[in-house]
Amino acid sequence: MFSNHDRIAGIVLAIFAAGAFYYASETLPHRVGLYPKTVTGLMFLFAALLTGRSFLPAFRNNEFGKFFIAGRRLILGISVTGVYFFLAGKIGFFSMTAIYIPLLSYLSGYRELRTIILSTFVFCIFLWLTFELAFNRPLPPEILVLWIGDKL
Amino acid sequence: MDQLLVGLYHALEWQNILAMMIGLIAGILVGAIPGLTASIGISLLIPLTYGMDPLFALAMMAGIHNGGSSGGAIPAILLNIPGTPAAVATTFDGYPMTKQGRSLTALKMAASSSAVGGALGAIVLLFLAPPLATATLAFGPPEIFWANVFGMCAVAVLLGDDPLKGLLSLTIGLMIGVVGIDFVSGYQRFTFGVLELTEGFSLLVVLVGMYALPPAWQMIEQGVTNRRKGFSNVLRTDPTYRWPWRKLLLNVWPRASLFGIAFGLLPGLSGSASSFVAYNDTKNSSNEPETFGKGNPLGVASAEASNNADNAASMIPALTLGIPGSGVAALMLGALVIHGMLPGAHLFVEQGPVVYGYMWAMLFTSIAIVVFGGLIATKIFAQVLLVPSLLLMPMIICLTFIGIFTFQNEIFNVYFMLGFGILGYLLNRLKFPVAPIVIGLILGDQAQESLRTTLQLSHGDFGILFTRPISLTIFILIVLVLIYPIWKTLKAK
Repeated sequence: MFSNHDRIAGIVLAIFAAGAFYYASETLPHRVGLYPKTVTGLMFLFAALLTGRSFLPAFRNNEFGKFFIAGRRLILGISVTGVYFFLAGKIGFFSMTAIYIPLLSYLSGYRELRTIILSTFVFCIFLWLTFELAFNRPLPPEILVLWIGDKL
Repeated sequence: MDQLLVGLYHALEWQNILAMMIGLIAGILVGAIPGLTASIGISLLIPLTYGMDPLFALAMMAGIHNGGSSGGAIPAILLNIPGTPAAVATTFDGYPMTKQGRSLTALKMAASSSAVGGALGAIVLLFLAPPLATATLAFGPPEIFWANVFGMCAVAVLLGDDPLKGLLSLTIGLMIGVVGIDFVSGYQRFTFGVLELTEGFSLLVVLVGMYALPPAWQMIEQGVTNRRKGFSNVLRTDPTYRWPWRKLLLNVWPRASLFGIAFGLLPGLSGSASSFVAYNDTKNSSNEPETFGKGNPLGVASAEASNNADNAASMIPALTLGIPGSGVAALMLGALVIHGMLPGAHLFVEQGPVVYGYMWAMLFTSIAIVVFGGLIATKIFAQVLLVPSLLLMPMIICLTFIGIFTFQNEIFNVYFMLGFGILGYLLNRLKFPVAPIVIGLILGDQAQESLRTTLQLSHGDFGILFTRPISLTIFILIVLVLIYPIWKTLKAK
């Protein structure tokens, strides 16, 4: 029943569209809600068609491979990236980048430590020269570095 | 004509030439790495160039666009792995040439053909886009509404393999565009009281999230390490080979480029389709068709000329009507909008120097492929295949952070980008095309605005949408586009 990816996608999108349509109907005045309701209505229609199509003989037996090629590695990639985005904003861009690149490369299976460390160092210097020095683009401040500086 | 020359003058300013060259080199590098495409390069560049001179930014993107297509031939020829989808046909004869010890000849043929195809496409862009744009001056609000709907339907139905998924992607894009304040009533839609959502999702955040993050995660997931020892033993030229200039100049290059231009003009017929058709045409018109697929350089020439001619041609409907001819053109359209330029006749009048300068940049960067891709740096660019992708991917993600954070100095944009990245990844795995989402986001608002203006003009009468000749014609075209996949399915049965 749920080995067909199109069917799952269709059901999820139909539920989302129905929910959004209901929300728009309940919260928005008629004229304001007209466009969102049209969009969500169309989305529901197409999602229902996708779901219905997945039951047709020609589409029922479509070959669907594994959805994730390597689920654990993917979750690792996304979660490490999420943590990096969060901490880079809180603690500082360069300090977190200096940790993130080696960590993700290593955890993903690339094990040449010397290359990792050297490339990370060169990349961080390049970013600093380009964005801080040349273009003066403000990046999240280095709280960690400032704190260590204060302590010293 | 004056605008054309003013554009040329601006394009030839040293900083713009520098931008073109940087873009071209970056594009060739990006295209040469399997898994990375010009789309990723452009999506990374858009936020980084935000706030810069628009022509500088667009010149760099023109370089990436052309360089990305051309760079895809490098792994196609050396490894039998197309660097970009459009380079699939290049592998047919490119890789056999490598196996025969003629890889440098193949790479030079690919670069020269890319340059010729790209240049011809750019010339057509320079001379066809302005009159087409002028024709759109006859468009009133009803025609603009239908043109926007046509653009959305054409991209959704024709660009991917599955029209239904294309239409669903389009509605996802429209839905993303709904979030935020309604521009007429000032009422908040789907903001759920979150302050950061009142202005809606930025196109830039959606573009970078959906185009740059998913390929990076996919590579991490696949664990591709592509550790190779070098290509010095593979990069060999064939000293006995005499270039068939007559055949190339009079037959292969013009014909293949024409296919690329024609396919680029039509939404949904991407570079890869044009290169297959051009390849088959060259093979069928040859005196020795049996040599194709076994290392005939003309096979490489036709595939590369057509997929590069497609680049500039796909920008013609994008610049004039807001209907991109390819996925990369959709992204370029997004870049134009982010830099404050809306497609149509007004673009050529109000932003003449920039838009003409951009078109010249498409021409110059195509010609420069001969120098950078073919004569000087082929050996250097081939070495990019040695870069371990697992090290490169986190660096790309870092660049997305910088681009999106510095755009408004707001960290929540980075979180939104992460969300769109996850959505983009899931849609990729489900084989939903991303370009209709972008088009829905760009054209949805315009369609909504023009419909409201139309109804105000007609005092709420919808009949105005069908009674004006141009409106009716575009409406019929929309119906045809929507019927086309049904007709195709029935015909196949």
